[in-house]
Amino acid sequence: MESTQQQKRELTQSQLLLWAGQKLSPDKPLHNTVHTFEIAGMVDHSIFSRAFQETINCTDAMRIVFLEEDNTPFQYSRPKVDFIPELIDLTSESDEKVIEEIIQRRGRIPLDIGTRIFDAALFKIDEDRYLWFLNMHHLVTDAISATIVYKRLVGIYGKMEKNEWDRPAESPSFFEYVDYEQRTRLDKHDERSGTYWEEKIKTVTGTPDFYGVKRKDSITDATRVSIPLGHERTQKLKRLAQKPEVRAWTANLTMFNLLATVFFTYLHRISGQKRIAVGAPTHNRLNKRSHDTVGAFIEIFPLIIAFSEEDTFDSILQRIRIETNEYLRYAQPGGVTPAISGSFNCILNFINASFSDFNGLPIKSQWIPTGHIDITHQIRCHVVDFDNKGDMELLFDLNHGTFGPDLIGKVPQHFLNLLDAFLEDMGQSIHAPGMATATELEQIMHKDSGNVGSATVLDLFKEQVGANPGAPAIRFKEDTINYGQLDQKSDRLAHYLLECGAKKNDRIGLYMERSPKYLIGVLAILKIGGTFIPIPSNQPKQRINYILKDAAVTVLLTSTTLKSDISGSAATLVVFDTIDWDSTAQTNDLPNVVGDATGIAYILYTSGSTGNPKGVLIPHSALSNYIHWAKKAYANSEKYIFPLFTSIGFDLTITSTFLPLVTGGEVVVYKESAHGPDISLMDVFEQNRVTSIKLTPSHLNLIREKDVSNSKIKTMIVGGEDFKTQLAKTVQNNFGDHLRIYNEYGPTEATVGCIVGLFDVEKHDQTSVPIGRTIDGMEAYILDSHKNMVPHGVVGELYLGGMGLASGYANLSELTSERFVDHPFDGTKKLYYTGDLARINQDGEYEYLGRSDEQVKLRGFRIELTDIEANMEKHPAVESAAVVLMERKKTIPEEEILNCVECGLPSNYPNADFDENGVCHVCNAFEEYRDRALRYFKTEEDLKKILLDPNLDKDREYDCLSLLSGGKDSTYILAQLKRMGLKVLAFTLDNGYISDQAKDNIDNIVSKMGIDHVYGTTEHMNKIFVDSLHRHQNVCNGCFKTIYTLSTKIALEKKIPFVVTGLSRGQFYETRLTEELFWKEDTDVARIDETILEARKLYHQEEDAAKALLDTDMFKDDETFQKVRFIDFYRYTDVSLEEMIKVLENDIGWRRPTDTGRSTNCLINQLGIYVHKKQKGYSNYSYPYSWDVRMGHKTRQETLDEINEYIHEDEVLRMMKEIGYEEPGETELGQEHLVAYYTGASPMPSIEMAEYLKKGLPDYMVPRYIKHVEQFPLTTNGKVDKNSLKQLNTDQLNLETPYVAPKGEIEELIAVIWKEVLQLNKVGTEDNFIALGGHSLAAIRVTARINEEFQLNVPLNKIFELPTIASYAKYIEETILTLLEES
Amino acid sequence: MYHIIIDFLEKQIVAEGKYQIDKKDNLLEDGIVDSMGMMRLVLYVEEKFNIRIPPEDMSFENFKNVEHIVSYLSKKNV
Repeated sequence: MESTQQQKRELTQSQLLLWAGQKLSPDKPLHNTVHTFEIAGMVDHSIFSRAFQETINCTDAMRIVFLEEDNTPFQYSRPKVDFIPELIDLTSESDEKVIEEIIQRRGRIPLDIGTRIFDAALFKIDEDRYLWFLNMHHLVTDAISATIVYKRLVGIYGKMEKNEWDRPAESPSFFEYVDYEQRTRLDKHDERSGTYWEEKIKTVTGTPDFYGVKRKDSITDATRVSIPLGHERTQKLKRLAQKPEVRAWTANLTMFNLLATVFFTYLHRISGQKRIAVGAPTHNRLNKRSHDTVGAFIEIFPLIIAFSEEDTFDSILQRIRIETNEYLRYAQPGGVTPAISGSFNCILNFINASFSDFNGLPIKSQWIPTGHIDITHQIRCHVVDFDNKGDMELLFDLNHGTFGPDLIGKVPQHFLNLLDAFLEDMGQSIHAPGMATATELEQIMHKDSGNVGSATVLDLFKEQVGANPGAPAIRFKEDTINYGQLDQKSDRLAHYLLECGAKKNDRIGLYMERSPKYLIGVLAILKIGGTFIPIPSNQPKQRINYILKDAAVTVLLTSTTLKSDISGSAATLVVFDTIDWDSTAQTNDLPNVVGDATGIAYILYTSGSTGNPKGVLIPHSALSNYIHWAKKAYANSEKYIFPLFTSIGFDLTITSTFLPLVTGGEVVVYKESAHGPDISLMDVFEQNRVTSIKLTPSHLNLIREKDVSNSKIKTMIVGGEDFKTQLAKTVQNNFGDHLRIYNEYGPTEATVGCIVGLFDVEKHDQTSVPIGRTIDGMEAYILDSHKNMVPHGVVGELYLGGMGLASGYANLSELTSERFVDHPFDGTKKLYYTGDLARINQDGEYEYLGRSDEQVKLRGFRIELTDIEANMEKHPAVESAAVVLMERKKTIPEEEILNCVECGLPSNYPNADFDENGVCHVCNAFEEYRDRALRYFKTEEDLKKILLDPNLDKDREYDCLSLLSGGKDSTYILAQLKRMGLKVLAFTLDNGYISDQAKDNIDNIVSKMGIDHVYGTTEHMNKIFVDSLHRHQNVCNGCFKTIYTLSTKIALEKKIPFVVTGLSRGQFYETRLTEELFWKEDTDVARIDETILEARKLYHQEEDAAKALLDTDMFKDDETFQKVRFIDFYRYTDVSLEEMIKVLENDIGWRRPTDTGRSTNCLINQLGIYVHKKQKGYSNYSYPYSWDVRMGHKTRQETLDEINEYIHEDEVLRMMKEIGYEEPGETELGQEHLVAYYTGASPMPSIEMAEYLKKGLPDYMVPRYIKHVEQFPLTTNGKVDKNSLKQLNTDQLNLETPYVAPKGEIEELIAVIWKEVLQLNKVGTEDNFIALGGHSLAAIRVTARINEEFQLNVPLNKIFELPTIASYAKYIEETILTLLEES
Repeated sequence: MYHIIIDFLEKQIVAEGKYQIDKKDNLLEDGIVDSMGMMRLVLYVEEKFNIRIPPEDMSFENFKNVEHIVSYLSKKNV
């Protein structure tokens, strides 16, 4: 019993995975490891049998069986297993194929792991040709084990043959490793590696599909394809492996890296997936002893490589070198888990094992595939050289879940094409080499693109006239025109046009509303062989006249109502409704115009990127190709009754114009209204006269709520935009099953439609309805950036070719050659580059995936925005997504910065606006209210009255506390207060960075003047600095708040009624005297004082480090602001700098400090300036100093000298470290970054969405900001307005609240005010004022403006109580209503 | 230093002390140590000397024999 226990073990992690796989498919030979050794010579069966038994005896792995106890598997090595390998005589069988088949069949017999874990036999193929068949379950073997068993048996056989065999050699037990594996699993190394793998596999989910095949699950069937690399390739690889930049530790590792480069690239190219994980087995034989142990050692861990558009083979190789290194570091025995194992569906297995001769007889070994592989593995690539020939061979196991016979045939060549390109030039882009085989290209070239009739559209119409002249052709309101009449009328007009001088091939414009006359006009123009140019009536005049000129229109058909829009055109105007028919010829004998297929049938103008529309030239052949096909494809037994209700300038309308008339159907004309929106669509559905309709998804969106259960429409052709499946389903549901919905894709340049698919409600479940297949006469290619065809299923750019292509653009030869490019596979033809992204799905249907110009470049990575959007849309909470790239804020280069000629304000100050004289907007605005603003200032007498108010407490120790920084302004104040005979306590904040000289100054001054002085300090100063740098990009704000807080506290304690500040007049304007306060003619200074006091209260409520860390309880008490009042000394004194310096230096002995390297006495000040300049582009002193200049306290030059002072960067960086400030990373500083918006029922935390996206996208593609919006802003064409989405700033993007656009007059007005004051491009009604950077100063400005706009008296603090536009607007509305009721 | 490395290789990687390693033996080229074994040595010295060997330093040159390994480590101030 004890010995049994000793021979019983748990399974290793790796064995557990194999065991579980086998358990799922018990009847499949999933893990049979079958080797055959064909021996060129005689083998003695009896010796062989004995040798085999001895091998079993000394190989415990061969005696292992797998059993279960309480549903847990364990392995048990039996003491003895008796086995005689069967001798199978096949000498009578001459067919090698049959022999092979017999052997293969035996290899596929599942092994019963509970009884015997191997199978072996000796086949006698010829008298001197034997084959040893050995099948061991992967649970007890691997590639190296197979070589050990082979060597072991051959050794014993050799000795037995020579009678030298005596006793079995001692062989190490597999259980030694099993025990070791279990121990290491608990080791600390392993813990670290566990975390590594856990984190690593988080970056991938969703193993890729290949070749666009949605893999079928639970398939184990597989085909093995051999790709011998041959001598030349092997040698090339070996030479490459010698290069120092390629060479890794060992030759094997180097070769692995090289082949992995190609294998990874191949998988990337056939899947289109940007992050690929490949499993690679590690042999886990950690010492010499284990190299002599049979067992299941190997364990599979993933290598993960992210691809970008810019990658070359070389860049991938370098990435792989690092990746394999990391792999080796962390691939510890026992580390694999089901999650790790599930992170990949491809294997790259570099097998370093070979078999030598059999007792002197040459052998040929083979690893026989069993036709089955692991369910989860789609591709396994084994690199082998079993017989040590020196030439490598690749064995691809291809799972039938993905690979059908057709694909299996293509894999070797696709892979070799890449390998050869790699060997040819490692520096080339991984996308450069084509993969398609010659046969594939051949097939494409000779694809039958369908039969196209030669009749022109006019011929087809004439046929209908001949067949049914009395049948209705056009209906307009109550009128009907039959085919005969239509023919006649168009003949007469054709005559008239000829009389007016029109000729064949002339360009004839149709500037008309939709009407029967328009159709008559089109037919008439075709009848004289002219080119018609439809110009819709609702266009700007400028555009109409541009078209007339650009197209060189000779005759223009128009109407009385529209003709006045035409100006400056050389065209002969034909006003249709005023033609004098009586004077025109009545004959029908028109000159017979011979159809010229290359002649231009029509020119449509579409919007161009230059701002002018571009004319697309459509030849007759292209028009007939489409119409012929449409006639055939959309045909149903009934005749087509189409509404003509879309713009005649839209290529989609061609269908409704011609298709009814060439099939004997009817056109029901819906005229657009002269003014206002075109509501013809609604009329079409209300009148219910038509059976077919051509429209856009936007149109369908408009009618999705409509009751259409009685609609006569049976055929619906949808085009012009991406058609979402959800919408298609709704439409199908609303109309009923009898409705056929076609999704038609085609740019104007390829004539109306060239890829069309019938919507199938059962089959189509992707986000968008596939666009289907190419129509007759047309071809479509999906190519990559190197114009290589991408494999099925992979996204590429769509190119179109065939009969339907336009001849080009009118007068734009350069653009024409840009968009109509040489056919990469057929030099005689052209392809039109659509700029659309597409792929072919597994049913062979094309899928439209957005525009390729949605591609952006971010930090060197090329990124498809649509790719990110599609990934977001996979999330159940996301309805629709839009991603934009926020471009880097344009910073003005230093040398281009201008300074206001008056005050020196730099031109990069936010919203700075200079007039033609170079004067800034602040100076100009101040001119307007200067007089009113000056009323704020008072005299020294006023000051005395306040400070020496007889009503004040007589017992006070001090009259005031004066803030003393040691600088000139505060020192001067002290001198003045002293002169005025006041009892003063001076207060200085020691922030830790006051220069020594400044401190000396302070100490000298106070002792010389005999003034009591205290220093204030706080242990939190550095934290306050850091916070201030984050909030305001300077240190001063934090310092100021600390000073105010500490000084107020002292004043309270000592019952000092006043704190005197040294703020300069410039600083008043910077911090409180906003322009808004002086808007009113009758500026009331008392009211301003009240507002400023309110603002001061709010200031102390603002949440920042100073408030959080210092004792600020006293500010909760409103009385504090009464007990301690703040007096700004310079409000009462106006002194020039010159005068001040004179007093300071002569009377007091003040010295300008020289040890700060600047004009200030605070050393850390320059850190603030450095940060502010770096992050905002200008010094934080620019604005206050500009006010000092305006006030006449500084000259412009002094200001400029000071704001441009040299900054000691080393010193700054040292201080940053000291206070613990870390500069924000690049992206946080308004650099380029991605922003995603989505709609959906409810917002989700952006961090969750980011985590979700990280699973499918490389990190650089995960948007930095992800924001929920109620609905997307739309352009006038009904597309998502991405420009508008770029307008939110980072503060706004950081808010978790969804963006809600302002609604209604009040919200909109408040939004305008917020935007101006907070300097935002866009603001949502749920955005928080404080979070957007709103502080007390901004509150003053916003409140003043709102009060002005609404004529209200809203208190200042309202904005902090109601910090969103929505809540504030509601309050205002209620206030206004109450006021109205009261009055 | 030589002793520490040779001792680890002989006892843990190669053959439980049965094989004598010389400081000039071509460990990698002659297949005495494979890449997995070398990585175990890396992990060992990293822990022993409290250093971190970055992937770019794990070159053939730095690890071809014990002499090179020691010289590399001495550059890392070990």
